[in-house]
Amino acid sequence: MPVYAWAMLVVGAMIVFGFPPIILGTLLLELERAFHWPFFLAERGGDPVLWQHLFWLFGHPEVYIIFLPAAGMVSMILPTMTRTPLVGYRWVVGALLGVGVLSFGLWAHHMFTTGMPHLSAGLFSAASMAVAIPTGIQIFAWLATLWRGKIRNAAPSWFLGAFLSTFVLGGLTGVMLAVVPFDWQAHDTHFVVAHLHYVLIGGMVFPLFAGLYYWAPVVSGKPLSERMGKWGCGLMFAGLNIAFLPMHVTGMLGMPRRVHTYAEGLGWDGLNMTSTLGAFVLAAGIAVVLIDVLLHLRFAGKVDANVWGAATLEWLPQDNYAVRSIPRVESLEPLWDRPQLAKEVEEGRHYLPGTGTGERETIVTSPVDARPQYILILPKWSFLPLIAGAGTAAFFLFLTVKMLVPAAIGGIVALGAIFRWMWENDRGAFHPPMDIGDGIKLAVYASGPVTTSWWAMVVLILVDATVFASLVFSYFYLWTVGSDAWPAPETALPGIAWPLAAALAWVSGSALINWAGRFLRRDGQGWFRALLAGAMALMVTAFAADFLGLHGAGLRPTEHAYGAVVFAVLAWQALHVAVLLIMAAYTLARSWCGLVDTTRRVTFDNTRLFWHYMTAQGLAGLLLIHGASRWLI
Amino acid sequence: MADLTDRFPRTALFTAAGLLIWAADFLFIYIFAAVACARGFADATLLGAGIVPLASFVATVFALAATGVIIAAGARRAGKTGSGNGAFLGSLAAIAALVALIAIVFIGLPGLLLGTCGF
Repeated sequence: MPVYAWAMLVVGAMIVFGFPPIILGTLLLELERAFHWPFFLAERGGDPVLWQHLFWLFGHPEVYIIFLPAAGMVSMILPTMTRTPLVGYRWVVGALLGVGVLSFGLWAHHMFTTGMPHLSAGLFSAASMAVAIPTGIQIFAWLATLWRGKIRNAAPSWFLGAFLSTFVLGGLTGVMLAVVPFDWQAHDTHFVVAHLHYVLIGGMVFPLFAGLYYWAPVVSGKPLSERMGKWGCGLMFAGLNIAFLPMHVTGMLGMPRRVHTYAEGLGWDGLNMTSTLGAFVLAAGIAVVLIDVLLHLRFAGKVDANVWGAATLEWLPQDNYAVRSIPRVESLEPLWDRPQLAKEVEEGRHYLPGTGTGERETIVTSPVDARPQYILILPKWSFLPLIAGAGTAAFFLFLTVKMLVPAAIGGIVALGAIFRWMWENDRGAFHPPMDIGDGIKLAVYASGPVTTSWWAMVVLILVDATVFASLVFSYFYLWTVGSDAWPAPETALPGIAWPLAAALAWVSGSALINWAGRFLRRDGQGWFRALLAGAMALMVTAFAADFLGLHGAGLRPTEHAYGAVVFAVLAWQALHVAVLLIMAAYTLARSWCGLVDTTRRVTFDNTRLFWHYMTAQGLAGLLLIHGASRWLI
Repeated sequence: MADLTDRFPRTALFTAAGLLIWAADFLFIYIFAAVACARGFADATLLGAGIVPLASFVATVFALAATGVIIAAGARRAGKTGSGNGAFLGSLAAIAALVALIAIVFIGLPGLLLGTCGF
C-alpha cells in the first residue's frame, strides 16, 4: 500500500480516538455554561485543569493528525522527484504507526506549569522525547532516498527542501520544550510561537504546497507554473525564517505570547519589526502560489498526464468515473514495474471495466490481501446529503447563539434528509451476481462483518466508547482532586434495587432484539416488530429506572461536581436512548414497508450492533455511578 | 470470503501489539502515579522500595518482556513467509514493537529516577 494511504489509515484511527475527548469537553463546557453544572468551577468541587486535560487529550494527537498526511505526501513525492524507490519503506510505515500511538501519551506536556506532580511531568517529558524517534526514522529515510537518487530541479522538490530544513528545526525545539525545566521558562512565550510555526508551516504547509505542485496535473492535465512555484517557495521559505527565527530570541528574552502591544525598551522592538517584515514576505510567497493556482489550475475531465514519470496508481489515465478498469497490483511502484499497465487499464483489461448494474459501483475487497468480495452500489446523485449538511450546520450554529427554534428546525430538516437518503440505499440483492473480469463473479449485496456498513458502525462505536471513556476519566479525575468534599454514597445514591432493575432491563432489551433477528423471514415480520417494540420499551425502562432512582435520592447536577458528573453520564445515556429509539423506529418502518428480511438486513444488523453496544455502555454507567462511589471511594 | 475478513482484527491487533502494550504500560504508570500523588500514598514503601518506583519497575519489566515476545514473533513471521503480506506484516509488527520497546524504557525511567511526587 502506498505510504500516503498508510498515513491516512493511521490518521483515521487517530481521529477515532483523538477527537472524542474534545467532543466531551465541549459538551461539559456547554452543560456548565447553559445549565450551571459545575465541572470546572473549583468552588463547587470542579477543576479548570480538567478542561485542559480534555482539550490536550485531543490537541496533541491533533498536531500529528495534521502532520502525518503531510509526511505521507513527502514519502510519495520524494521517490518520484529522486527517481528511486523510498528507502526503508517498512521502517517508514512502522514509524507512522509508532507516531500514531505514541502521540497519545504526550498531552500533558502542554500543562507542565499547571502544578502537576514532578513524577507525572517526568512521564510526559519522557514520552515527548520518545516520539522523536519514529519521526527521526522518517527523516533519515527521506535523507537516504535523497542520497540514493538524483533530485529533479522542480517546484515540488523546492518545497520538499524547505520542508526538511524547517521541520527539523521545529522538531528540535519541540524536544527542547519537552525538557520540563526549560518548558517552565519558555511556556507561553514567543519561543513556543516560533516552535509551533516551524512545525506547522515547515511540517504541513510546505509538504501541502509540494503536493499541490506535484498532483496538479492529476486534476488539470498539466503542471502549474514552475517559475511561480519556485518564486512562491523561495519567498515563503525566506519569510518563514525572517518572521519566526527572531521569535526564539524574543521568547527567550521573556516576551509572552498573545499580547497585542508592549512597553518600549524591553529589547524586543527590532526583533519584532524583523518578524513583521518576514510575515509580509511569507504572505507574498503564499500570494504568488494562490495566483498561480487561479491562473493555471483547471478541471480537465479526462486526464492522462504522468508528467513526473511517477510510479503510483493515481497517475493512471482517468475520467470523471476514475479509472477505466481496476488493476490488481503486487508492488509498490506498479507503473515503474509494469510500463504497459496504463494502456491495459485504459483498454479495460482489468476488473470492472464497465458497469454491470447500470449504477455507480465499485469493488469491496478484503482488507489485508485485497481479494474482491462484493460489488458495492454507491449512492445516486442527490441533493439530500447537501440538505442534511445544511440542516446539521444550522442546528449547531443556531445553538451557539441560543436560537432554539431555528436550531430545532435545522435538526429536523437534517434528520429528514438523512432518513430519506438512507431509505433508498439499503437496496438488497436487486441484481444477480456479476462478472467483474478474470472469471470472478461477485454478489451486488452483502451483510454482516464483510460489509463497509458493518465496519462503519464498528468505527462509530469506537468513537462513542472513547467519549464514554473520557467521561469515566473525568469522573475519576474529579475524584482525585476533590472527592473529600463529595457527598457520602448512602446519602447521594438510591438503594441497590434501582440499578439492579436498570441492569436487568438493559440486558433483557438486548436479548429481545437478538431474538427479533430470528423472525426476519417474510412470515415472521409481525413477531419481529413486536419484539423490537418490546426491546424499545425495555430500553426506556432501563434508563428511567436509573434516572428516577438518582433523582429520587435527591442528587442534583447543579449543586456539586459529583452530581454534575453523575448526571453527565445519565445525559450521555439519554442521548443514546433517543438515537436508538429513532434507529428502531426507522427499522420498524422498513419492516412495515417490506424492506427488511433475511437477506436484506443491513439496517437491522446495524441497529442490533449499536443496541448491544448501548447495553454494554448502560451497564458500565451503572457500575461507574453505583459501584465506584460505593466500593472504591 | 468470511475467513479473510475474520483475520483482519487479529492481524491489525498483532501489527500494533507492541504499541498497544506501550499504551497499557503508560496508562498504568500514569494512573498509578497520579492517584498515589493525589491520595497521599506515594511515600509508602513495599519490600523496602518506594511504591511508585516499584510499580513503575514491575510494569516496565512486564511490558518489555511482552514487547520482546512480539518482536520475536514478528521477526519469525517475517523470516518464515519470506515475501508477501505475511512477511510484510510480520516485519511491521516487529518494527512497531521495537519503537514501542524504546518508548517503554523512556517512560519507565521517571518513576525510577524521581520516585516522589515533588509538587
